[in-house]
Amino acid sequence: MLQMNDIKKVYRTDLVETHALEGLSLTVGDGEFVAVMGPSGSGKTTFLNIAGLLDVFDGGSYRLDGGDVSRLSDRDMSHIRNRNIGFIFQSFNLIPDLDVFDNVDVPLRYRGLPAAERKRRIEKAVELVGLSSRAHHLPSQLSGGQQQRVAIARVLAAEPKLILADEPTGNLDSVMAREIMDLLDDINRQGTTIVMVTHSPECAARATREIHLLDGKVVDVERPPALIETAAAGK
Amino acid sequence: MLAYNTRVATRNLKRNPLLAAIIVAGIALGICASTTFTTVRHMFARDPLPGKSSKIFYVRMDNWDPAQAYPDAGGGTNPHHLPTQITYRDAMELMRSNLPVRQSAQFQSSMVVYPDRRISRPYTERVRLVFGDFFPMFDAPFQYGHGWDRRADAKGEQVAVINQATNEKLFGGANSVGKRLRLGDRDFTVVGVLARWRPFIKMYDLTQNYVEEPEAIFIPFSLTRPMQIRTFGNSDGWKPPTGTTFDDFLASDIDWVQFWVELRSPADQAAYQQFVDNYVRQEKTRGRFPRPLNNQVTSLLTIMREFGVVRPAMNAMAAMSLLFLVICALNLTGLLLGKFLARAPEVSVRRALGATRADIFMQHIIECEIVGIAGGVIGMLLSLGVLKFIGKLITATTVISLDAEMILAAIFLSLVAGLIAGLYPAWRICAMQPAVQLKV
Amino acid sequence: MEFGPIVRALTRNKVRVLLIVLQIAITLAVITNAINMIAAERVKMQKQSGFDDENLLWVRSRPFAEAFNERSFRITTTQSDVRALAAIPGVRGAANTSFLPWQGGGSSGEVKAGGGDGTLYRMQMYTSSPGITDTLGVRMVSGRNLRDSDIDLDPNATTSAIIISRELEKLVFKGQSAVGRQLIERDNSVDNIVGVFDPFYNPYGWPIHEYTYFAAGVVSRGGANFLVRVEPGKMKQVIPMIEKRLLVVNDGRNFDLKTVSEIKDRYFTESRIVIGAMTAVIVLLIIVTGLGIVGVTSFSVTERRKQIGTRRALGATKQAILRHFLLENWIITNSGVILGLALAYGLNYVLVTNTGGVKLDWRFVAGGVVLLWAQGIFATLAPATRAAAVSPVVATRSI
Repeated sequence: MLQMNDIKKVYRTDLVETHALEGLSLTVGDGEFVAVMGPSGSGKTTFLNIAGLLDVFDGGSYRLDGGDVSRLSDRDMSHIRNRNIGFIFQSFNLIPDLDVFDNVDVPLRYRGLPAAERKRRIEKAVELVGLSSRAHHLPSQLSGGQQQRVAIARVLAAEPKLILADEPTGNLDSVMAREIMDLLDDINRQGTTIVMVTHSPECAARATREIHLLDGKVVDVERPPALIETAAAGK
Repeated sequence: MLAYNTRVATRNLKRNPLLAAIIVAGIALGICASTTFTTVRHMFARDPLPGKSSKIFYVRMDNWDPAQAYPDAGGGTNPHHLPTQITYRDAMELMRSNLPVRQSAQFQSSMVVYPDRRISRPYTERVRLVFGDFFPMFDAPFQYGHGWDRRADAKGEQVAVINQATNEKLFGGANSVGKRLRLGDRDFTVVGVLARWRPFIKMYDLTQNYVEEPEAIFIPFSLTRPMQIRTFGNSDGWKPPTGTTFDDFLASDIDWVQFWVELRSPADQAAYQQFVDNYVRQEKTRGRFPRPLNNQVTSLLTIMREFGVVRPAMNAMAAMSLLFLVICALNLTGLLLGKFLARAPEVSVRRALGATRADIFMQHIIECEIVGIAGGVIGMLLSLGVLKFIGKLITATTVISLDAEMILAAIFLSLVAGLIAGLYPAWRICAMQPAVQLKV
Repeated sequence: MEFGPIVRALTRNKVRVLLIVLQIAITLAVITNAINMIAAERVKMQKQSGFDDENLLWVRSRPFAEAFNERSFRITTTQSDVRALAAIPGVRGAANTSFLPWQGGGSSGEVKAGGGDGTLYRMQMYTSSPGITDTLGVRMVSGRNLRDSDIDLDPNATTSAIIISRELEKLVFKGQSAVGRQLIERDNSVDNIVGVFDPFYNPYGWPIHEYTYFAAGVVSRGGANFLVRVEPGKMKQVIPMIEKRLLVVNDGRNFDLKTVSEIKDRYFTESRIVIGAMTAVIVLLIIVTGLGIVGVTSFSVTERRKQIGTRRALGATKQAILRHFLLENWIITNSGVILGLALAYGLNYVLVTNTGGVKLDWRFVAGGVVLLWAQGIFATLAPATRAAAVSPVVATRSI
C-alpha cells in the first residue's frame, strides 16, 4: 500500500536548516494497521504530512498503492487525497459552520458525485458511527468523542484505501478513546489500511505493527511479547 | 462544482455579516462615485448624433480686427482664435453652395405668440430661425407633419414647426398641421409638430447655454430680413455697422449666425473647406476679411471639444472619482486578505479532503465577485439618486440617468474591481501548503 | 522604543503593509487635491460684486400689445415703469438698465481714450436710467451721477453721457481723473464721462470683469429690463406688488421676475456641484480608509493573539502593547504620507495641465497629512485596545 524509500525533508528558514526526516524508509502492506510512535520532534507529523500528500519532500521516493507519487502536481495530489486517503486528526478539524451531514459531504463534493449517491453514502456513514439522530447538529453541539466520530464518518463516506490518523484519541477521555479505537479496528477488519501516529501505548497496542521514529528515522524496537498477545487477542 | 463553490462562498459571507457589509459598502461607494461623475461627464461628452456626427460640420470664418485676434476667455493672445459665429451676409452666400447634402444658417430669437383669446394671453416665446434642412440634419423627431422644403425657404413662406408642449398649450395636443399661428405681426401655418425632443446637449447651438431645452417654435431663416428679427443670442463685432437701419446691420461684419453643413462623407471636408476659402479670398479683394486666411470647417465632436462642452471641472471630478474607486479596491484587497487568511484552517481541512487549488481559488473569487456585484448594484442605485439631484442642479428640465452604456460600464467596473481586489488574496489562500495549518 | 523590530516585522508582511501604504498615499493625493479644488471654487464664490445682491430683484417686461412697436410709446411707458417701481413701499431704488449682475456675461465693446494714444480697451457697456448707482448700492467717487437730462432720445445721437467704473478709469486714464474726458467707440460715437463710481465686478467671458460704463438712456427694445433694490427683509412683501403696479401702467405685457440671489446661485451651480462632490469624496474617503485600517489591524491582532499573550507573559504592560500597535500604524501611515506627497503633487500637475485646475497650496497638503495622522490613530485605537486586553494565559494554551 505504502512504500517510502530514503525520504528526506528539510525545513529551511533564513538561518537554520532543520532536518525533519533523514532518510526514512518504511513499507506498509495492504490491510495493515500500523502504529507510528516516537518522542516529540522525532518527525511523526512530518511523516504523516508526507504520507498524506499534504507536504512535499526533498529526497527519496514514495509509492502509494502501486503508483509513484514523488513528483505529482498539486492537482493530482488533491485527487489522490480525495479518493484514496482519509484523515483523522487529533483536533477533529471539522468545519465549524457546517452541520454533521454537510461536514461528511465535503470530500464527496470535491469528488463530484451525484447528489443521490452522496446522500446514500453520508447516511450510511453517519449511521455506522451511530450519529444518525444528530445529522443536523453543528460540531459545537457535540461532545469530543462524537466530533471524532463525525470525522471518522467523513472518512468512511469517502471509502479510502488508506486512513491516516494523527493522535485520534489525544483529545478524548479513556471511555471515548476506546470507542474510537473499536471503530478503527472495525474499519481495519473491512480491509482498509490504517497508519496511526500516537503517543499512547494502549492505542498502539490495537495495531498489528508498531514503528518507532527517532530523529527522523525508523528505529527497530523489539515488541514486548505480552503486547503481541494482546494484539493477537484483539483480532 | 461551481454551485458548491458558490454555496461555500455565500456561507462564508454570512458568517461575518458586519465585515461583509463593510466590504460591500466600500465597493458601493466607489462604484457610486465613479459612475456618477463619469456619467455626468459622459452626458456632455457623448456623441449627440451617433452614426452621422462625423458628417456634420460647423463653419467659422475669421473676419475679425486686423489689429488683434478674437479675444479668448483667459485673455491670451492666440492669433488663430476666431469668432464663434459668422455674419448674416456670409451665411447667405454660403447657402448658395451645392456641396453639402444639407445646410442651415440659424440663430435664436424671441417672439410674441398671440393665441386664440379663449386659450391664453399673448406671451413671449423662444424661436429659432432655421432652414428646412435643419430638421433632418439634427434628427428632430416629428409627431405630426414635417419640416418645410427648400422652396419654402426660397420664398420665405410663413410656416412654423412647433414643439409638443406648444401644441399641447395652443391646440390641445391634436394634430395641428395646417392650423394658423400668429407670431409677431404675421400669421403662420403650422406644418409640423415635434415629438418630445430633449437632447441633453443642444448640439446645434453651442454658443450659449447648451443645456437648455430646444426652442418652442421654428420658422424659416429667410424671414429674418422681412420681419426684421434680431438675435437673442450673442453677437460679436469689432467694426460697427455703417448705419442704423436693419439692412445696415445685416450687411455689417457683426457675427451672430451659426452655420452648419452636412456633407456626403467626412472626405468631402477638404472640398468644402476649399469652397469657403475661395469665397473668403474673393471677399478679401473687396476689402473684407483683413486678417490672414483662417476658416474652420469643424466636425461636430471636434467643435464640442473646442467649445469646451465638457467643463474642465467635470474631467477633474471624473478623475478624482476613479481614484476613489481605486482606493476602495485597495481597501477591499486588504480586508479580503485578512478575511481569507483567517480562514486558513478551514481551507486546509478542505485541501486535505481533496479540494484542488483551483477549487479553493474559485470559491474565493466567487466570494469577491458576489460582494463586487452586490456593491455594484447598490452603488448604481445610489448613483441614480445622486444623478437625479445633480441633473436638477444643471437644468430643471433634464433628467440625467444611466444609459445602457453606463450601466454596462458600471457592471463591468464592479466585476473588475471585485476580481482585481480578490485576485491576490485568493491566490495567497490557495497557494498555502495545507500541512502547515492542520496540526494546531 | 522597539522601532527596529516593528519595521522588520512589517517588512515580513510586505503585501499587506503595501496595500495600506498605497491606500493612504492615494487618499492623501485625492483629499489634498479635493480640498484644493474646494478652496478654488470658494475663492470664486466669495468674489464680491460690490452690489447689494441680496436685496436686488430683476424684472423683465415682455410686451405683446401692438402699441409697443412704436419707439416713443415704449420710452414713455418704460419711464413710467421706473417711477411706479420706485414708488412701491419697501423699494429703495429702481433703474431701467441693460445690466444684470451674475448672468455670466453681458455686452461689451472696445473704446479708446479721447485725445489718447489710440490704444483700444475692451470693456463692458450698459445703458441705464440715472438711478443705477443707488439701485446697485455703489457710490460715486468723483464727478457727478447721471441725470434724467443726460438722456438724449434722438435715435441718431452720436454722443452720450456716461459714468465709468473706477477700475476702468485706472486702466484707460492711468491715474488721471477721467471726469470731463471722453471715450471714443469703434463707431466713432463719443461718450462724455461725467462721473466715476466704485466698485464694479461682473464676471464676463473675457477678462474685463471690472471695466464698464453706464450710459444714460432708455432700454426698451424687445422688452424693458429693470433692477429693483428693496429694503433689507422686504423682498417677500415687494415681489407680489411689482406685477400689479406695472400692469396698472400698461397691461399689454407679461413679466418675468427673478431675484439676483437666484441668478447668482444659477451662475455658481458648477461651483456648488464641485464643492458638494469633493466634500463627499473627502468624508467618504476618510471613512473608507478608516474602516480599512480598522479591519486590517483587527486581523493582525487576531492573528497575533498568541504572540501578544506571550509578550504579556514575558512582562509587557498593556500600555506597551497599545503603544506597539499605535507605533506600527504610525510607521505605516507615514510611509503612505511620504509616497502620498509625491502623488498629490503629481495629480495636481495632471489636473492643472488638463483641467485648468489651480496649483496645490502646501497648507492644504499639511492639513491632509494631519487629517490622515488623526485618522490613523482613531482607526487603530479600538483594535489596539483589544490587543492590550489579550490575557497572558493565551501563551500557554495550545489551541
